[in-house]
Amino acid sequence: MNQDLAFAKELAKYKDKWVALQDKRVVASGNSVREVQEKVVRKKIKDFAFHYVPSKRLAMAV
Amino acid sequence: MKFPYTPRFLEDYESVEHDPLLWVSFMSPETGQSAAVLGMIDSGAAEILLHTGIGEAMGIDIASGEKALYSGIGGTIEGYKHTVLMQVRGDRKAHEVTVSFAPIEGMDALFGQRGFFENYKVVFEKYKNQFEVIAKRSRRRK
Repeated sequence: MNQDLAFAKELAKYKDKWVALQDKRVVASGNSVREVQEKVVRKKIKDFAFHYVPSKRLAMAV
Repeated sequence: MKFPYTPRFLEDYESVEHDPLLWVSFMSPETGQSAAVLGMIDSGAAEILLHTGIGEAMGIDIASGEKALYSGIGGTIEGYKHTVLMQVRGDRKAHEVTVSFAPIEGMDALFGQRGFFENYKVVFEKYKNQFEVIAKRSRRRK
């Protein structure tokens, strides 16, 4: 399995959740951005990105 | 800056969707707080739309912004516009842009025409599962 598919498999564990990512590593997860933020603050994690892991195909137009 | 499409397993765990996801940081000049999000480049979106939670993480009083309505496949949602600084990971330059914070369901961020495509050219090479983000050149004085 290549690195990207390994990342996809890792993310699949967090379907319908918010996660904090450091590159391709999930460092915190929760049901809301606030919950994830509280965890990263508690763990003193820096340089991360929020991401929502969808379980369905997305179709959005604004 | 070239990036691979990000593969994501969907419900059945068999099918894989590849999306053009990009790591972008936003900073509020009002609060001085920032947040990064791995969101989707969406040329069909009119502007930059961020989930309300991202704005809250930046300490922004969301409802103090200009109200706007957004219609999508799932119906209409209410958003609030704010001016922030946007910086794409890998780019040294930050851009002042207007974004809307809205409770977009099942989604973190959409990087659309106003704000994002005004500052970057994006070349999608889906057949290679890669895309390129090219910063707009600033005009040089003669």
